[in-house]
Amino acid sequence: MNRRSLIKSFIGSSMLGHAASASITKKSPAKKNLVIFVTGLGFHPHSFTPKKGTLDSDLMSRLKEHHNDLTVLRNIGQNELSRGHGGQRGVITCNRNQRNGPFISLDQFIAENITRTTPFKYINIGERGLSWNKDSRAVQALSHLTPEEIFKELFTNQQLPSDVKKKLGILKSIRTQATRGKKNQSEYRKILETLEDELETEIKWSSMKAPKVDFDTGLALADRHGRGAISPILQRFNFATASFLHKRTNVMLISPSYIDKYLPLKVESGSYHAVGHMAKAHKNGKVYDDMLKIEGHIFDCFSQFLTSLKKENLLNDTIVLFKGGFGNPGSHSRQTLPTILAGGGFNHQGVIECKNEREENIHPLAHLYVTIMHQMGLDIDEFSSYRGNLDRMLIK
Amino acid sequence: MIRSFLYIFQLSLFISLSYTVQAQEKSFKNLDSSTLSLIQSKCLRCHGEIKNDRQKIKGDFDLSKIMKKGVEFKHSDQWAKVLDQLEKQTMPPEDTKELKGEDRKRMIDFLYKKLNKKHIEKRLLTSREIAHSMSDIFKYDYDVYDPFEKLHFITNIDSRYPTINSSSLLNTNFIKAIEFGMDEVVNRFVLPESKNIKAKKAINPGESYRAYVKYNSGYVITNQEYIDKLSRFMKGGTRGRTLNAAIKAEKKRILNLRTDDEERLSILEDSNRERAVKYNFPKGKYRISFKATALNRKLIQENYQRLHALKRPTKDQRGQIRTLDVWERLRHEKARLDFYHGGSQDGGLLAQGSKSGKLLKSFVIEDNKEKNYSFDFELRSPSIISIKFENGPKGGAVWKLSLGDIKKQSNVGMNYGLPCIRIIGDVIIKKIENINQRNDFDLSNIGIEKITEEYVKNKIHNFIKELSLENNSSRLMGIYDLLPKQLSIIERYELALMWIVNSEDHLYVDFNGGKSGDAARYVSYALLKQKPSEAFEKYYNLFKTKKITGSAFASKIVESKQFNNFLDEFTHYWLQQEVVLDKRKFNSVQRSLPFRKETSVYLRNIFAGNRPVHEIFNSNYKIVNSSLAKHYDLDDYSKFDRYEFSIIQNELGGILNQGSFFISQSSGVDPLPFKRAAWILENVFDHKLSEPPSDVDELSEGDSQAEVKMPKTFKEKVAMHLGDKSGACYSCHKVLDPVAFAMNNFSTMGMIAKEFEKAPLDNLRERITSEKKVLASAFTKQLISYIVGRNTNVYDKKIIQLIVKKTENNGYRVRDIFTEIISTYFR
Repeated sequence: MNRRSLIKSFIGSSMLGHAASASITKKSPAKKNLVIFVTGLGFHPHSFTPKKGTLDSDLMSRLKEHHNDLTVLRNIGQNELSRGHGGQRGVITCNRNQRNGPFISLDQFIAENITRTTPFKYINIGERGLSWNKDSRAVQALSHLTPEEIFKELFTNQQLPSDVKKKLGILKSIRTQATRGKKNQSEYRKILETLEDELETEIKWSSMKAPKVDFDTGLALADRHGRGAISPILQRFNFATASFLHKRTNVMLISPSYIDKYLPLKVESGSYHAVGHMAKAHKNGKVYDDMLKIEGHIFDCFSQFLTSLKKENLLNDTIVLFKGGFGNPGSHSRQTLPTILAGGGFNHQGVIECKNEREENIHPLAHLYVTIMHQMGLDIDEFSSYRGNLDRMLIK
Repeated sequence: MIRSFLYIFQLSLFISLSYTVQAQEKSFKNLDSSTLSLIQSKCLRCHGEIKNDRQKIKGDFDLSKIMKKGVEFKHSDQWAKVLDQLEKQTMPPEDTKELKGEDRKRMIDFLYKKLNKKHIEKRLLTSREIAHSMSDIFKYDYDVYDPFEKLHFITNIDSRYPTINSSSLLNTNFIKAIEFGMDEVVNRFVLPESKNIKAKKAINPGESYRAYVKYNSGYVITNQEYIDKLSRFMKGGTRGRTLNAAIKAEKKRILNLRTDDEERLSILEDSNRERAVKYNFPKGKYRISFKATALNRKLIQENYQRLHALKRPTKDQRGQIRTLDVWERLRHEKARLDFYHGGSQDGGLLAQGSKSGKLLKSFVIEDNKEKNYSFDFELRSPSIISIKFENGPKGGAVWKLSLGDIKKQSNVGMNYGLPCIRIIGDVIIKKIENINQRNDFDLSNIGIEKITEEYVKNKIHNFIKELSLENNSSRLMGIYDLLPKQLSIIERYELALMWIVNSEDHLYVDFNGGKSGDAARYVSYALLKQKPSEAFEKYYNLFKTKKITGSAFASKIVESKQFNNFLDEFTHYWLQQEVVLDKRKFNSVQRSLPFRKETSVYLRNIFAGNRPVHEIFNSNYKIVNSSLAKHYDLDDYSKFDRYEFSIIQNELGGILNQGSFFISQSSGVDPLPFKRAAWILENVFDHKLSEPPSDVDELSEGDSQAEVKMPKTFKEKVAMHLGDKSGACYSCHKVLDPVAFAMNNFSTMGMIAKEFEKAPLDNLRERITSEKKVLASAFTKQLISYIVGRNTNVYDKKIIQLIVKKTENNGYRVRDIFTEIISTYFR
């Protein structure tokens, strides 16, 4: 082992969840896993929103076998956000000030406030601009990697414990010297200590055997512009199942890769982006059918994901938050957001109506996020300055 | 008696004076609290007050956050914005209770008095500052190699100017990325011999080698390729069969010419990257010479005349209509051979951080005349040389020759000899000189027995000196001593270099650090974006001790080569140059036009010539090369050089008429005239509009797929904004839209739009010329912000006013302003 391999091994996993430690001192391990799925375009209200008090809609019918394990938060909205692409950064941050911060996204907040018991604090295979760290900076995602590379990052990149120990020794010496005579609590010193913490956790994890994962990573596709490597939606879900099964992380964020044309679905009315943005798609039979093909495909993948979690006995321990980034992709509205909560040991209701008769938001999205955090084991009363929760309805 | 009287008088005077001072202090405190309550009653109501569990934050500005403990200096930049509004009397808005004149004045005076403090913050170095410094110390060419790409990625993750709010930049990934970059640097430039960058073989000085270019083997560079392309157009039919036979014969002939290729070094031909050579030239100084001639150029003339006679536009490979002007341009250009830096390779893959594309030399090859050509160059690390055949302006090269037309004419195809460059004999590569020692910290060519602890410690000490960190020498030297002894001396040496760069002492610059050299270090990073050189420190000390004038110091800075670093970084963040042109809409030629260089060259010219501020935005000249001249549709574009930029009179001068501005303020697909206008208002006229409401979807402009209830055309939008004077849009758009109208005259890349309306543009230009003072103030503000690395605050506001006043007589000249800023903050 020489210095070069030490450096390489140290940097290898820099894109994964090794961010600075949390500010909250009292932490405990996560009680559940959390996977957040966000599709930027969202779903058309006519295809998604179930009829009042039921789970009856074109898309929800695709999840029939899981109706007892999920809750649709009907008409849940974010008052703080209305329309516009820029609002994407508010979908899981619920920030009121969308441009200047400070804000932190739900996944990052949880990752920061639980004791780390897995190799990765979080795994982000989501779109850029969804996940924001405690410094209000976009979190790097693995989305640009090929499926093989993601797989390697998650399951096979392991270091020899002796190497990491050596590295830790070096880092400690450097910290002692480089910060001699400096203020004890300087930001720089904290960062070096965090690096040491990471290495200590690394030692623990590197001494464990790498799991053998039976997983097909050969499904890579290229989009019609030849942009990067992308993988089918189901594959991303499979990453989540495998990650939880082999305890790589407790917190995961995924998005479908940006595929303009789902070629196998034979959609003729236009790209996913174009069809998804048709506000009046429901008035045009052909377009609506095409749109349903794409949206239905996403729901089918989601259904398979829930099935696989059940099969592995993970559903009860995994909170699944399934979200659309727009309530109406056509008008870029975020007044109501397609939201499904599944698994996680919740007291599932089928449907929770989030608006009253006067069309006022009685349960803002942030309340749901607080409840999710409670279920994860976090003792927290508010999120993004919203106090309140949905515990009464969702927690047994 | 008199003395005692005087004493009593003095005593009574003292008592009365102290009483007055106390009374004043008391009344000032009262003034403090009364002014604060005034701010609360007049401003907070709309900017942060919580009523019925709902917070009201208008215009995205929350005063309650910064008023928790009264008015504090740490929020001085926010208060500067409040002052702006108060002074311009735009706040409180008309529809609320008016603020009395005396109250307004009281608030303004209070804020100026309370926050009048000069302050230069300690800040983190930016990724480019680190990268520039390392390339300077380790003597590598930043244009062809940058090991800190990961660091740039992290720094630019949300496009904020990195020195502003830099505290949030420092995180574990930042440290890791520096470590990674330094690892690359020491591996290439410090280790006894680079381990993973291979050279084909050693070439000794004085020795010559023949080079062959791809498989054409020193004969005709491009014939083979032309024939391949030709065959694509000529499939089937008799002509096709004849041609295929000709191609086969040509291939055979060329292959027979290859005899001793294995003994030769390869020069990579740019257009065939997949056949890339696997080896690099060893480091050293070289001379490349060859004899060449351009042949069959008359084809271009003939084809032009033939197409001209047909009067029919042709289509290129992408199916886009190409007009005769491509041929018109071709007629004026000579054939060229360009030698490029081709990056470094490592077993078939480009080595980490290496960048290809730096032009080493461009030769104009004469038609039908055999001539010798030669040039010298230097390689500081093993790398590839690539060669490019250029026989026309970008996008109009002859290989795009429209053979579809030839096909339609009988027997025309084979009558033409194709235009090409013939190299007679070989390309001769001669190594003139070895570069043994690459930099002062290099261990190559040093016998292992010499590398002792004392030797490396001495080097580490010099390294610390190079970084101007001698003040912290003992702490930094200790890093080496504390490293585990089981590591070898070389390993400890490398780790020490890496961690000195990664140390807190190096990563931060503090103007008020209190130690000698701290200020010079700060100023060097602020103005040259790299570590101070010895000469800089000396010169700065002369400036600081007033032995030379501020103007002399500023001139020295502006003249230095490193000032380009500042201009590049400044323009990048100032113009917000992050937008990437869409691949589907713009072809590779359009995307590769040198817009950024244009802006950089233009600004350099402005600074060097000490031109007035308004000339930055609007002038009657452009500085362009041939491709930009063509892009801007200048009449005599053929006179311009492909690479050299030169000045031409043109009424659409200034950065507001440059592609880099237009592209930055676009979506990468469509032009966004309102976004352009907002930028102009803020940066030219110092009128920052409040953030648009979140339901304004700027990207949907021109998005025909979205069936949003939005007006489609620009005029419809303007009508909607201004139609309802009580509407939400009106207050901002009444200022915004006249400028947007002017900007609507230009496409995404700045070409003049079809529906050109001259009047709004003339109005804008006239406004720029008439509001010189405002322009000077806005530009000074921006410069201060980027030099001092933070948002401007209340103190800066006063300074801006002073500088504007001082530079007024001379017509608000840029370098005068620059000089005043430097003298105010750094002396």
